Amino acid sequence: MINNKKRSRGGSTFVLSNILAVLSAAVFFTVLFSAAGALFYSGGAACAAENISFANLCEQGLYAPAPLSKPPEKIAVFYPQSLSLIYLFGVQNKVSVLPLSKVKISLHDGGFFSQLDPGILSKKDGGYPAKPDIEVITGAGPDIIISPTFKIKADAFFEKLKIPLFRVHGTFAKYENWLDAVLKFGELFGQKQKAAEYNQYFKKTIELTSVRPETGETAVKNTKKAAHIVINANKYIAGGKKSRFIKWFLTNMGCEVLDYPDSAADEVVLSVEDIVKFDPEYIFIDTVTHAGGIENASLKILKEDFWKKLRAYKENKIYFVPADDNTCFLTNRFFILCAPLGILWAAKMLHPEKFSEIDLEKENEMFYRKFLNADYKKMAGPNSGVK
Amino acid sequence: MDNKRKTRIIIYVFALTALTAAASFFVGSFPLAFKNFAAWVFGNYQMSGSEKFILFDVRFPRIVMALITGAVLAGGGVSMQAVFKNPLVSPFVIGISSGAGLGAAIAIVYFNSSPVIIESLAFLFALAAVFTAYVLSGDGGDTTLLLLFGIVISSLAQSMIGLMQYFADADHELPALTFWMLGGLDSTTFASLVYAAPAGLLCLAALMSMTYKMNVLALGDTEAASLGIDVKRVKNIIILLSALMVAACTSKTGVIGWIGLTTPHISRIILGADNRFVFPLAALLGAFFLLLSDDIVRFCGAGEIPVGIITSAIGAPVFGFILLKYKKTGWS
Repeated sequence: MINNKKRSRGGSTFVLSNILAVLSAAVFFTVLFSAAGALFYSGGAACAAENISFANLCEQGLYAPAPLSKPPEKIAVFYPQSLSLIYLFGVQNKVSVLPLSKVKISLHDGGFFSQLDPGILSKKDGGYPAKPDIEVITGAGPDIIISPTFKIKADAFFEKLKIPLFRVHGTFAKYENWLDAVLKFGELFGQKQKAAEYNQYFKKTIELTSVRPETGETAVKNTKKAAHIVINANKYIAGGKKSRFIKWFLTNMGCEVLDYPDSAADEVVLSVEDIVKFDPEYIFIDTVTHAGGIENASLKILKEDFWKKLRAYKENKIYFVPADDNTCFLTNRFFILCAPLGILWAAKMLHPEKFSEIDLEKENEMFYRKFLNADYKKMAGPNSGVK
Repeated sequence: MDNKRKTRIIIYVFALTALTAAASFFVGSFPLAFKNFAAWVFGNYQMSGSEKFILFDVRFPRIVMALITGAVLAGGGVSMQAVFKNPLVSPFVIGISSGAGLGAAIAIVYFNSSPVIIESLAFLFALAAVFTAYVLSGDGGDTTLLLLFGIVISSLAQSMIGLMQYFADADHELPALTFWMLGGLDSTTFASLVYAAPAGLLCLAALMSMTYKMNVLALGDTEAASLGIDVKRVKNIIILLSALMVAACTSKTGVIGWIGLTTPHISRIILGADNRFVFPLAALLGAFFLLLSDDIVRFCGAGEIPVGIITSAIGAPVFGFILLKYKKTGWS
């Protein structure tokens, strides 16, 4: 038995030792090359500015680089929500990389992004926020990268590249965070004036809808039950950190808002029972984009029987947040750039008697012209849901 | 086929893999020309910081990780198939991938997607899943029971991953989790290699030295025992080493399917059933397959499709082809 065992092994001992030798060599060289590569690069080359310092500017997480010697000329954006800052400051021609696959919703001819940046399709796709394409970003040679505040594995690469990062919390649950980001971004790109004007307009809108300056009248608290519901992939989403801003301004306008006491989560999925139990008087529905137009979307959504049991349905107070891919209302919940327009729109729906003098069409035209350098009528066309 | 010819085939595949690895340095959306690299080696060209960064920080660790992970998954496949005497077994079958996925999901949803925590929890949960299945099956005494408990643990972990996906934030947690489950080498750094490479390579070498015992195990437990093999101990060591190396690599790369199932069979078709040859060939083929898949990912341009999609897209039809080949003769 022992002899057999020895014989069966002995016949291929030479062959096996060769294989082991080859594998050992492979292991040795792998380790050697890894160490050599690590040592080589430790003296490594920086691609851009040195000595970047970061400051956490607010609790929500906004990280802006220390002031640069001159405004950046090449920008890599791989976080869709941060495109708001790009369009607000009109620096789209400096963007060389952006998350094309993520913003494809509005890349068609005449879409919001295409209209504001006609050359958008010629730009390089930087991948998804959770999976940026390092090679594309490096290849574009940006002198600033706009990235999300949440941690991603690619952070290690960005650290090594030493390219300044402007990190923003894209959902801007608190409008103060968004306005901070606007100020810092404006400063970075030498447009402090525009940043200040935008801040002023945003705050003015909020003041207008919470306190009437001329009379000192404030909205009556907790008399109207309202719900802002995002319908995405057949889920009814409300509350949570992302809707904090919307909840805040609805409350500020005298509403009791459908939400969960524990809204520490980013978003809370509601059951039909939750909605029926709360029975809101006003419902604002946001589908991110109303494919095929608001009419079609509303017909499709409201065909579910439970809506008909709600007070808001019976009193014809279910409103679809204007959201088409030609206008600023696109992905309204997140797209805080145009939130002032959303606030005015919601104010008119909730308190038509108090805000009758607000001309939404006029406000939109002014906003587009002043802050986006665009023609609202041309962009929104017949699809404008802002009435 | 005699042993010398088998060795020659292994050396050919090694050379092919090495050549592909060398060529892989010049595949990707960042333009990096070989002639510039050659000129740089001879001191006639000054590489820019970006070029050095892509070459040494992005592609180098990525290629090494592809080679090691591919070899580990394939080697794990050969070892597991030998222990379980089941051709449908892959390293993931005893809960490694589901356990790792659950660990990653917890890290992504509850620990703000911290890369270090993702990798640590993925590794720990992968080993915990195997350990649980192992203990429940009576310390691995009955491999069929171990296999079945592995399936149970995997299903439980999958249901919990589903729950995590449900609660995950749709903007960044859900995509992060989805991408992780689809596998990818795009974020590999030298730091990733520091942990995964030694574990992978040492376990591979240890398993390679046990290929003779794998052959004996194939004869059946009674026969193996009569040949002086401590069957339970050998099986336990093989399972432990396989789980350790696969968990170490999977925690870095995410779940990359099909390599552990397909390459052992291709190796057996080429070289026969002798694990002393099948193991190194499968490891080399696994390394080659994953490297090639990653090259396809980088060649296909921006955005980078997760590599697990490519390995499945290639692996599944190849395995189907193998099945057709065995249709007439059966697995025996």
